[in-house]
Amino acid sequence: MVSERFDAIVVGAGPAGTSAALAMARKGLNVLLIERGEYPGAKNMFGGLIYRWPLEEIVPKFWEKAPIERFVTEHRYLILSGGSGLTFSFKDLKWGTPPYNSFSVLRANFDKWYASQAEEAGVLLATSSTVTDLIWDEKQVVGVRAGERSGNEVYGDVIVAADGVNSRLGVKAGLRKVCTPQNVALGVKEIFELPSETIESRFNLQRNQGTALLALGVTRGMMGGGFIYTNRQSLSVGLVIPLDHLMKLKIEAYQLLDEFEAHPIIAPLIDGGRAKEYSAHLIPESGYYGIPQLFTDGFLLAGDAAFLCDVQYFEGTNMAMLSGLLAAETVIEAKKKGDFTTRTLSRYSERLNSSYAVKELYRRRNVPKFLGGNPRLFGTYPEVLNRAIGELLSMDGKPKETKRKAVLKDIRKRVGYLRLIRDVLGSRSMLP
Amino acid sequence: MSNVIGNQSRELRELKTANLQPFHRKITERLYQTRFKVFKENHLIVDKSKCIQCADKPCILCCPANVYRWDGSKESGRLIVEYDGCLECGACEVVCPYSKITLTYPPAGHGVNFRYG
Repeated sequence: MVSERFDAIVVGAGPAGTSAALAMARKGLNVLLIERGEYPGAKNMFGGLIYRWPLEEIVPKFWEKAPIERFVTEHRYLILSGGSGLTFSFKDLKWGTPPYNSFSVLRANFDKWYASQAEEAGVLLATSSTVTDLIWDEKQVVGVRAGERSGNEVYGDVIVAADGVNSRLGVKAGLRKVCTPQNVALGVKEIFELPSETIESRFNLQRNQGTALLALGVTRGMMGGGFIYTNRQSLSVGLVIPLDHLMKLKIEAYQLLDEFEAHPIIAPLIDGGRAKEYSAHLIPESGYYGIPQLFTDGFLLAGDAAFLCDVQYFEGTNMAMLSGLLAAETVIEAKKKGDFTTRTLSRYSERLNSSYAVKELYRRRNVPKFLGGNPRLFGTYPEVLNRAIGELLSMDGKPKETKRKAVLKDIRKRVGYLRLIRDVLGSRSMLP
Repeated sequence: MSNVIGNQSRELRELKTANLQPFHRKITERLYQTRFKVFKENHLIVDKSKCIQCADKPCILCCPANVYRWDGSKESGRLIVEYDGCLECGACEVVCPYSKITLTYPPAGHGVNFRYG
């Protein structure tokens, strides 16, 4: 990378960064997109789903060209306990036909494709480049430095930092701090390769249809859950647990993943799969209250770096893309005005605050606290529920009334009615 | 939080101690499939001055790739950092109670490069 000048420099070719770069390039801006991986997606991992919006507005009918694994037609929720499990499933076959609803993807493929769309729009993509520092002109960010040696400096009117949950640049810009165990969760994931026919018969799917499976009760009574997303010829199997909860458990996350994979209801779904990759990533989970200051002179934060992520509906990539678009709009406005200070860049915050992303996070602002402070949801309730249903469905000559009383006694003893009521009331924070 | 664990059902306790074959694999077996382009220098900057007095050493347990391990006795041992299997998630930096771990990124496309992701 040589010393050069751009209208905008975007750091990180994930969903946020690429969206920002693409939108700016389409408006004629001269954009540099810097990615530290060998290719876009090389450093990225997530559970498995992208949603139709807002990507369809950026790349109309993207599903016809993007490397989609499967079109998700079923959302399955499992409440597991010991060797039993309660399953809820919602399936809608119209989600298997255009315009679809959500899509399972593998990030190494998807991010690469998405960045290629930006390149087609004129973005200059630099991979294998690690940005190590910001360049300042007094109070304003005016460029970035890649690598230790001087000379690897590049200048731009605005720097959009879409450098992920650990955002080194956001910290260097003084906008946010390093993550804390309370505001991030650790996700670990494995890819298991299986023939597509096997996946389709195990998950009861037609060709190209997919399932998103989420499981509670697999994190030893701590907040968290397991997931399986079906890909074309593989399964993405993983587990998410907030770091503060993991620290209390004093075991490794991959041991929890082991237990999830070995659960008698989960194991047959994965059985015979060939392990292809193990990965890990942090997830911003503090919701609305975790969103940092998003701009300073010559500098904007987007995507995971801005902590735009929802713990309840597992929205992240859509919010990342949206923030990238709004960052782009702001930079375009700033360019027109010729002002790249906070005076114009603060419009980014205004835009985000009135956007779908921040409105949703605000609406569910108390959810992270409710879920994080209530381990009963992830341990006791799944057990009590499983036991109750198991008892009522066992025809063993015992009167059902006796069983009902035993269940109520179980609830009274292990939870307490007052607490149960409080939890039910507390769950209102999760209302849509 | 401890009472939650104490409350767990017998089945769950059994599951904990059950033989988890064939799924239970060592972390090295898992990492074997992941693609790394190892750089010659460690990108995890660890100031080990507080390790001995650190009671829980959460970096060891929270690292999903077993990058950290303790070598030697409790009083005189030392923290070993095997950065070559690092997945660059940043958990170690987040959990270090003394903020003595800094995650930097390997240069020029080095480090982990996911093929699936």
